[in-house]
Amino acid sequence: MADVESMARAVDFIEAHLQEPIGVGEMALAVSYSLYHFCRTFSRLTGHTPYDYLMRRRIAEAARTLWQTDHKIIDVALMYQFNNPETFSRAFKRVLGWQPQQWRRQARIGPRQLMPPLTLTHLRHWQRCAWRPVVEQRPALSFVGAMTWLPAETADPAPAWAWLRRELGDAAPGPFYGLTCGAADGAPDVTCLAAVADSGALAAGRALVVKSLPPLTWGIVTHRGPAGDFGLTLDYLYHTWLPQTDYRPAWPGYLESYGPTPGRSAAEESAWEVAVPLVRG
Amino acid sequence: MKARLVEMPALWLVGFDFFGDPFRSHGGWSAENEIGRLWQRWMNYLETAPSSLDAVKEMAVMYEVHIYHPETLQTGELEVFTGVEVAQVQVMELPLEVVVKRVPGGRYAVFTLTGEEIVSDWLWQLDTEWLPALGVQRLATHSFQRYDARFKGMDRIAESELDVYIPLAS
Repeated sequence: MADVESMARAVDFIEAHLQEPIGVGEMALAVSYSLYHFCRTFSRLTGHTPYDYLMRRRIAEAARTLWQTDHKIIDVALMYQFNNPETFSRAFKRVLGWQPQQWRRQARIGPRQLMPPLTLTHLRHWQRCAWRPVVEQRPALSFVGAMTWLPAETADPAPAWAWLRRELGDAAPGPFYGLTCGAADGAPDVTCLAAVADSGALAAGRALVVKSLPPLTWGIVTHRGPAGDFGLTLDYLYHTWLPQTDYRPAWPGYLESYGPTPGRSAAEESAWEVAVPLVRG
Repeated sequence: MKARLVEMPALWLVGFDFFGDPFRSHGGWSAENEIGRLWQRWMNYLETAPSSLDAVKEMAVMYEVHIYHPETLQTGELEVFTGVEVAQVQVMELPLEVVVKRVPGGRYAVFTLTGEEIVSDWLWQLDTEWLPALGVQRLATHSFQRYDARFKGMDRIAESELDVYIPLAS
């Protein structure tokens, strides 16, 4: 069995034992690897050390339980194998940026707050994308485009692209950009700007909007694969890569640079750049 | 894979040391993971300050020791040491950044890995096939790899050979 399938099985093993006292040694044994080779292979293919993955997923599921139930915090901590409330609170704050008591009081769980379980589909996407994330300062940017509201970030923004095409015609052949902005309160709906780079002149006499971004630090990866896999790229950016950096998102959103093709392509071999605005801390 | 059983005295090694998950930053055989960085730091040190290690027995032979701590099975964290053997340890004269490691003597199984075997999961094979075939049990305390002229580098792995030493229960 190939390493990627074995590591997906290891993830399944972890997911099935989040509430049990398992260690990395047992994970390795479950997929017939030596501890050392398992740690090396798991890190290479998932982007997490096995222990880091276990702890992050325990915190994610503990957070969900806290929000959905009235269980006492100490009971949830013990359920997810944290020996005492202090250890639990420290880990909780480190992963989610909230104390458990504060977390419980929030109105909703935001779409990118809790790390989802990794799957074989994630790991195959990780391999195809061969991530090489970079952090880069970029100057101010200005766009002209059509803005639309979407019920979720994975919804199809095709109407915005059709609108942009209709308004621009041949006036701007690209490159094309997609700017997605989420709500600060964690609501699942987003606004999406289908755009071209322009100082604003193109907007004159057209039913389009102008959007400017100040100079920013961006975390950038290349998404490879069809539009349907884009959520997997966001999972990597927000739950695997960002937590291992000194950065956090500056605001809930991201900028996609498609090149000469407007919007996300459904083609298997497509590729485009995704950039998340970052601040330190 | 060739195997032999040896009785060996304790080894005195000097070098650099790391404790933690060596694959936190990069998995696989990347030179950017903590073991790769440990080796780079150690080799750079040897190039710039070889005169401070005049008791080295054989500069062309390097050791990588893995030491398993109580938390290793729980978290995957272990101690990794890279260094060279010295004839005698004059601790007081060692540079501040260099540490000493005494590898216990005793009975060891020595396996010679060749080519792609080096980057395979040889430890699993060792536990499930090789050691049972020899009728011996290993100690889960440490193991070490001895790199000499037969090891040509990760970029020439097909031409390389590497000896791994596994301590055995008496």
